[in-house]
Amino acid sequence: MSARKTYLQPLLVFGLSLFLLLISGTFFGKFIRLGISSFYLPLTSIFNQVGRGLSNEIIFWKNLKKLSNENTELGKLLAERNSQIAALKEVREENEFLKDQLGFSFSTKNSKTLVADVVGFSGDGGSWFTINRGLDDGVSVNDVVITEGFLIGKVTVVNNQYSRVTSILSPEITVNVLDQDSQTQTSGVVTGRFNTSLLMEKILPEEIINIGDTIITSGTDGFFPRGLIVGKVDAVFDSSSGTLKSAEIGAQFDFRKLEQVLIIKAR
Amino acid sequence: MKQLLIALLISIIIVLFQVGFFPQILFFGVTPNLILVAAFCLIYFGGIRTGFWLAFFGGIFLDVETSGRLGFSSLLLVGLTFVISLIADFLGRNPFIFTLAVFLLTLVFRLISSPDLPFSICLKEAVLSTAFLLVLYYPFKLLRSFFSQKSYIQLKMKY
Repeated sequence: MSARKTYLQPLLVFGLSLFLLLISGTFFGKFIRLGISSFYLPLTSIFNQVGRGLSNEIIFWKNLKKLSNENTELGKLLAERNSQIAALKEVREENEFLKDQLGFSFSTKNSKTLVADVVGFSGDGGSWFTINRGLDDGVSVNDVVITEGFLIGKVTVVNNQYSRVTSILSPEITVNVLDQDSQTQTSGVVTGRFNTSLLMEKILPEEIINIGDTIITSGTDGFFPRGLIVGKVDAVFDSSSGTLKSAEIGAQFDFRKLEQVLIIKAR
Repeated sequence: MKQLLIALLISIIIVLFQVGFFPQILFFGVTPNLILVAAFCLIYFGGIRTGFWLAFFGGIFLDVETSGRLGFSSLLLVGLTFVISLIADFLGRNPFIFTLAVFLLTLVFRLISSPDLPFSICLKEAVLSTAFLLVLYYPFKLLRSFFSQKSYIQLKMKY
């Protein structure tokens, strides 16, 4: 009897399944489905969330080594990029500097130029400074040094990697200049005056020069190119004998704050 | 009645894992057919009635979850469980034969229930389900006292 019952059991379950299949399209079948899903689907949702959480954990741990390797690679890449950025920054600063240099009236188009960093100053207030370019870079004595359209000085001493630039504030330098703002194009010669200011001399009595006029290089000495700004007139001195006038020229910037300069190769 | 309740409880848990949990943790892109494996384990450890009820309830829950036609999975699972119970009785509980039967019947289940599914996926699912047989083997072995019965042949011999 029990054996028969055991045999019958699969048949009973099979029959029930068949019955469900037959009624699945009917209202009763849909009702059964709705009843089961109303309590079962929320449970599935919970299991789904747990599974998703576990899956994320598995993915995390699975990728941990990969992430670590990636992190190392990215670190290297970052260091490389930082180095490139630093180099580009230098280039940008150099470019900006060059742009500034080329923005003034004097054109360096036909001149060989070289950018140099100022690496040291004299202890006397600006008579000379040292730049990081030398013979190896093609720098030679008497090369003209400018910045942002201003005449700075000229190279007086050259070593292999460094050079000394004597500034126009030094009495050793003499520059032929003219008054850019004067209708008479007043000309003269400028020399440094004990590293504090410049003195413009040899101004003819009939020529007009006013305080505040801009003094630029005239280029007549065949040494400094024309158009470089030397400074502005601070004071005018008439000669008592009525022969020649002179003027005090103030430099337009602090020589001690120079960071970069442009070297124009001597022609 | 006891077997029926045990089957209901196990089927709820197993289907929740099969439909809710494992799809989030895909093994080689497939999920194991835990209901079939659990039903086969029950049969292997002598839980004939429980095994059939498990296949029945599991099939219903599976149909509800997958929006399949209600009763179709039950019919298929009960049919396959019957086949495995016959194998277990007539060929004995040889682990190798049983494992091979689980693999083949899982493959048959998937080929019939999802005929459009690529064969490679069906094959993967069958392999994975067979692997899960080892996972479910020991828990069912421990719990066999709850559902164990004598097989048809044993019962036949007895009476």
